[in-house]
Amino acid sequence: MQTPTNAGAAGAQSPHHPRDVVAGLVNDGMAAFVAGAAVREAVHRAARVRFIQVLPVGLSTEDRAEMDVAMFGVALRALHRQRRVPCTFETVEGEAAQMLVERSRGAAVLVVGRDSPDATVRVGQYCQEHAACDVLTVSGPDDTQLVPTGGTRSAYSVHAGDRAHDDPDRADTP
Amino acid sequence: MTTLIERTRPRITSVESEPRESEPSKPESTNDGTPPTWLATAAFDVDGLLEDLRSRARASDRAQERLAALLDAVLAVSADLDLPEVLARIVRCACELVDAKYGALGVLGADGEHLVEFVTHGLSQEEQKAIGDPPRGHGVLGLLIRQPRPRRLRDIATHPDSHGFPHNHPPMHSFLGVPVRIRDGVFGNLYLTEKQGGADFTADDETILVALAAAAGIAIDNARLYERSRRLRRWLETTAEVTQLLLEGRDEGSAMGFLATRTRELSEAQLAMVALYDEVGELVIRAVQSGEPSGAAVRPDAVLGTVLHKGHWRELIAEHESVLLLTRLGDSTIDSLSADVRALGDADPHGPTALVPITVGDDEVGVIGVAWAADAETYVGNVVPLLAALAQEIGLTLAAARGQQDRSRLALLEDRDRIARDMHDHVIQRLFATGLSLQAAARMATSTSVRGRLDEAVDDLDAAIRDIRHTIFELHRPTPFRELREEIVDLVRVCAKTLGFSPNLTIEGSLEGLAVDLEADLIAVVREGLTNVARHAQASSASVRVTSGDTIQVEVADDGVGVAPTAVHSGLANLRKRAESHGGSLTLTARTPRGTALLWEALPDRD
Repeated sequence: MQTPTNAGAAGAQSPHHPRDVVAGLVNDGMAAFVAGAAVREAVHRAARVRFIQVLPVGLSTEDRAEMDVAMFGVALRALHRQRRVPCTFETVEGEAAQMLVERSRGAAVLVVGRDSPDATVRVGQYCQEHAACDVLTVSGPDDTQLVPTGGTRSAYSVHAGDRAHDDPDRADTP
Repeated sequence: MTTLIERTRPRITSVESEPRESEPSKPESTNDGTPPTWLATAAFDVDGLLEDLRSRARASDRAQERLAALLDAVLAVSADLDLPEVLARIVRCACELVDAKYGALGVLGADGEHLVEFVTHGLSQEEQKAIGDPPRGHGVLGLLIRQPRPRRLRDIATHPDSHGFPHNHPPMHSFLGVPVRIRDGVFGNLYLTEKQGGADFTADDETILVALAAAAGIAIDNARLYERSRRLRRWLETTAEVTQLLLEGRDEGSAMGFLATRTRELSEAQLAMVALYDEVGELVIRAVQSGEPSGAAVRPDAVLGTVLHKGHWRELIAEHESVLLLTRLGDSTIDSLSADVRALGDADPHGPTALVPITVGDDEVGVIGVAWAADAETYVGNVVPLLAALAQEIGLTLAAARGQQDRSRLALLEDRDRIARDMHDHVIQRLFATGLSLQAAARMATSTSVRGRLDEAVDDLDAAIRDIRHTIFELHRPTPFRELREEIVDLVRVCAKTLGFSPNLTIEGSLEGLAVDLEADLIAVVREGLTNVARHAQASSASVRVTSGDTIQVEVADDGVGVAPTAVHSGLANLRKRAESHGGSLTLTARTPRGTALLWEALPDRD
């Protein structure tokens, strides 16, 4: 679903655009909630949402294509009636947590599924500890938790982080 | 207007109530300490009163002048409905009203937190270029965004929120800013700096600017509504035009070409494409419109007929969801759907791309793709809903046109079936009965010659019955009308690849029942005509019109260089022979201002 370029891992950031919202779509059963929360964040911030699906390495071409299309459908349903929200769809292969941390560099917030208590691979926790941006974990349609940059868990607030981490200062005005 | 004046008047009056430095105070004693005489006191009171009256009169005159200037400014900003011009006038009038050297109107983006447009007055283009990117709303400008209320500052640089000036920025000190509101929302802010003469902006200036901002909000709202309604009308006109084309018999390929052209124009996009599902369920590109290809860019018509295989396309259409893809220079990955669309013509590699499904209820018809330049990001959000509405209407129109064709075909088949049944049940039976009667009569005839004549008549009747049975069999074959029409459509579509553009094809009238050799000749004429255009005409557009009535006419017209007098006309001679064999003719005429029209005519010796 994407063609790698020679640019850095993060989405292009410009002082002229609000920073991206990244939806980390992993095959953990929470992709629909993650996509929905990411679209809501993007609407609130008037930002672009980047749907990044991370697939395990070694899938056959057919399996990869099938999962790619399925996740595309999930993202489309999340965008229901949000025709003005700009987005991109990317599919990458690798270790989910590391890929998402790497790909969300420069973003405003990374939205991922919250780890279940018995999870062996803790993608959400890894992202909260290592991501350079705010991390919003999701475990249901209305159950989200924001961890601002730096890994300190805050009280629940969906949009608390974006004000505190606005664009870098820029001497563009009087 | 009355409301505005009434609203502003009390505030102007309040300016007068400010303490005035020149206002005399009542003297308490004379300089030498002796109490003032009643005459001296009375004289002093009269002088003070007169001075007070003069001062009030001057203030009143100033207020009247400023009010008049404000009214002029309100009229000026309301006098145009072109939004960019309205914004420029607002800034210019604001500067003139409060004697500011520099002015700007910052337009807030959808997030309400950043400026997406910055209209300035007082800075030359060179100065703006030297400063670089326009501000986004940090520092003092951001203060007005966060707290939208009027601000007056003696020196911008000393304000705690100031971030300083970028390089090459002219020095600015005094500052006056007010928000511009439209209904309940903040549209943007008016920023004025450097009051002429080095003075500070006054409360009077602030009041005047607040009043102007209120009028500006109304003017901007009017301009936006006007622009929106005008744009909506153009989109509706396009829908009506495509509907008319499809329902009056224009083939789908030509109609989709027109749709792509108008969609690109109305969207102010670099590229527009239309893909429709074909009979076997493949999603096929039917039209692409983009600017003139540059360098190695693909010619848009070279991709006509390409099948979009990716499962994402089907998923997109099945979900009935429009999507706005947005890739930017420097993105780590390139969205492949966006890249696929942009590669169809001469479009920037990055930028917004809208994909809008064409559906009718649960039926999936196709998709419209539109790609914009990279700098169109702020504009496209408003276009996508219009595209979605257009796609919905086009879906309905396509369904109606296809239904119309199906009904025509069904009516034709039913008519043929009825004719065949009538011939079988009535004509053949009566001929057969007549034949039997003649056979009986022949047996009773005594004259050999009469018997021979009757036997011949019976044989003729047998032959006639065989012919009618053959005709009945032919009537039940797949309809040649449909086949010939589709054959012409396919032929034109194939020729588009050679030509480098899609010719407009119009088929008027019924092509049913044409003799097989006339059908073959008709196809040959269209092929030869378009081949000549491709080989010799150097044309940028062409049209094919097939008209069936008392005569069959094929017209192939182009806007090319015309036919050279020395050209070899062997192909045309063939076409002329074909026309003459059907009692028709071939004419070749020059078009104005350029181009050639080939008109082939034949008499329809129908089966």
